[in-house]
Amino acid sequence: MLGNYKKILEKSRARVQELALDVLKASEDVFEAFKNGDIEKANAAKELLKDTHNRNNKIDNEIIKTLALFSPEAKDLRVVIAYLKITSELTRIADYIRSYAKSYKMQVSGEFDLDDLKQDTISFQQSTLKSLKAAVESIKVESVDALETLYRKVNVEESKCDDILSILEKNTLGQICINPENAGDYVMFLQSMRKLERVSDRSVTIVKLAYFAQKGGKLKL
Amino acid sequence: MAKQIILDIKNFSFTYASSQKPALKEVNLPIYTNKITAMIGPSGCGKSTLLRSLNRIHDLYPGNTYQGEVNLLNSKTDKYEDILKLKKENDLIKLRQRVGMIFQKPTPFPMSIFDNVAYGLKLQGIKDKTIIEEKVVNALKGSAIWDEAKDRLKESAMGLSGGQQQRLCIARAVALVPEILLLDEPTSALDPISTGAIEELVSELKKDISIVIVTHNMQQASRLSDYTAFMYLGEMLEYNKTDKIFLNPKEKLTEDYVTGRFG
Amino acid sequence: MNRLFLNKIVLALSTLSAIIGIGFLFWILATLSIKGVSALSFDIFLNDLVNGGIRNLLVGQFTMAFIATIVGVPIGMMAGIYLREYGNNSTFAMIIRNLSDIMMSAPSIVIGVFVYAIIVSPMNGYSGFAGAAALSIMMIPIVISTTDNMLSLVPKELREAGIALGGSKHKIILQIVLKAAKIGITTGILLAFARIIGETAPLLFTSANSAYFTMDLSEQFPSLTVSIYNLANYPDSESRDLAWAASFVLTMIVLFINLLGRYFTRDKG
Repeated sequence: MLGNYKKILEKSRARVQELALDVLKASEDVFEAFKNGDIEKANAAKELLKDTHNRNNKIDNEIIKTLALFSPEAKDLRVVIAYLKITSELTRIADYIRSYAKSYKMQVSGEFDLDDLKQDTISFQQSTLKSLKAAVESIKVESVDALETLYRKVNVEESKCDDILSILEKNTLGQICINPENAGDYVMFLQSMRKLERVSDRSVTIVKLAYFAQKGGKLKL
Repeated sequence: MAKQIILDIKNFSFTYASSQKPALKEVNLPIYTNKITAMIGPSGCGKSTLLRSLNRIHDLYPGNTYQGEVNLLNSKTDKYEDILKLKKENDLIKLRQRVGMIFQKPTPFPMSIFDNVAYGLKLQGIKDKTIIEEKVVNALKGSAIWDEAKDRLKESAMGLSGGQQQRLCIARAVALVPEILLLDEPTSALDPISTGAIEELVSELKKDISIVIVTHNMQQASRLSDYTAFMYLGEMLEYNKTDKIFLNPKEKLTEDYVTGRFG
Repeated sequence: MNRLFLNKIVLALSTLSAIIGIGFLFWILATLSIKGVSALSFDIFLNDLVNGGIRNLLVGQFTMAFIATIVGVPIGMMAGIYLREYGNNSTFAMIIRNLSDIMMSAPSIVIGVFVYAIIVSPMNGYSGFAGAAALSIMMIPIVISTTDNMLSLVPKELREAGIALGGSKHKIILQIVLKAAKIGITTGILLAFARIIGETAPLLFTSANSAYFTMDLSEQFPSLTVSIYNLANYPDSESRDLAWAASFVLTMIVLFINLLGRYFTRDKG
């Protein structure tokens, strides 16, 4: 295998993994911040993610270069295409996390009381985090069996998120009936939760892509 | 680190003895030190003609005419010398010891593997057997054929496979420690595995030698080279860094060729 | 239907022609063998013609053939090398090549007469030298042609590879090209030798013949071929038997050399 080719494949792989790890860390920080009311942590998360679009472009351009110069085939080709799409998904997830970090600031600084919904919100965030962890893990893993396990895991967490979200929606609507003057805040809260829900959706996509890269067959997202 | 030009081709035109029309028209091309420069283009575009002008091997066939300059850097004096002006046989011999060439068809000499690699050294006048042996072993090692050759050094080179023969030819050229190596479609007669082995070898060689490779296989050019020159009907249509040529070619003809829309 | 039938007819005719040709060859060999072997004995190899043997004839024939080879091969090879490597398709080279080809089909008796005029006449006598000269004149065009052709089979990339390593032209020719054409050229020389060793006409007016054993080339020199011609014309049956034996020996020699040549150029694949 040509030295240049090997180098560029490893570089792309390293970059995608770095991005994934940063997105994971930022999500952990943001959810920590929510649990403990730590604005600094939320800001730190935003910092970590501020360059995501540039990093996405860098990875994309490198992969385009790899395709143009080295005509990868078989698994190399699937891996490189998977990286292309996974990077996209990671960048979207980063966007959701960043906007959640922003809305959190707003949530904490207002006179907005989430106490009744807090427990559910935390479980929701836990499941979201677990699905994201599975996705990030799947980018590193090469064994098809391990990937099948991760796929089951991420699906489980994603349906949990769905379930918890419907519970949250019901309870929030309940809260709105009790405290109609805070309706605006509650609605914004729901919106940010719905956005967060997409994180687990995209995590499922990431695991599907990683599975396609290793196992083959056709892309079915 | 500033890029250094080791061979500077300026306004070079070339006409074959038997033809009226020039095969090369005012070609300009810099060859950078320790880089791989590829020349691509449809058949008849002049890329082999240009390559063979760089070690004056056209001189074997009298009657050709040429204009322009091909300036080779003299590493001792840091000055450029126009190799087109060389006339004496001794000067041409010295030139060819600095600018080696590998051909499309592997050309092992009808002698043993050892004698093949030692041939150029003996031509240089080296007589000391220990020195010759050392250089031969180094050349074979540096051409990734030592393992296959070490137990059959005295056997005829004709018994090697095509890919091995070609690596032997490279060892033979590399034994002279040339500054530039010219490769004329070196793998087009070989199977994919031998091709891969030779591409890896060439990729390694560029650390010490500047390489110019003519290839009709675009993927080979895109995989291997740092710079690519696209030639068409005797002219240098486009020259740039390889990733620019294959990602964002400027000329439409270059794009058509690279995307396979030619002809 | 028509084409198939025509095909069969042509096939039959060509097979028939082949059988006729080979048939005659076998007839000749058979006759030679039968008549020749019956007259063979150890004695004829130990005695000279004067004593009813062919020893001096064999020695004489080979001697003149070897001298012709020593003279003819270097000249022929150098000319062949010149034509192929230095001639560069010039008019001069083309003329030489054509002349050489014409010489190859020149009647051998004409060459004999020519040597008679330039050597035998001035020297006032037949000699082994003249015989050898005539044979070498026959040999040279053959060697030129073989060398020229065998060298043309060497791919030009081999020469270019040698030049690309910094070799000068003459070194490349001697050390690489000739080596590459070695087998073909050697075989050509062998076959040329086989050709001249069976020649009679060039020797008739040059070395004539001798019944005695001699290595003196300035005198008439013994040869197998001329002797066969002479012996066949004598009335007595011993001479004629000896002629058969000599013919058989000569044929075997030529056959052997030809087979040797084929052996060298066999397909080693």
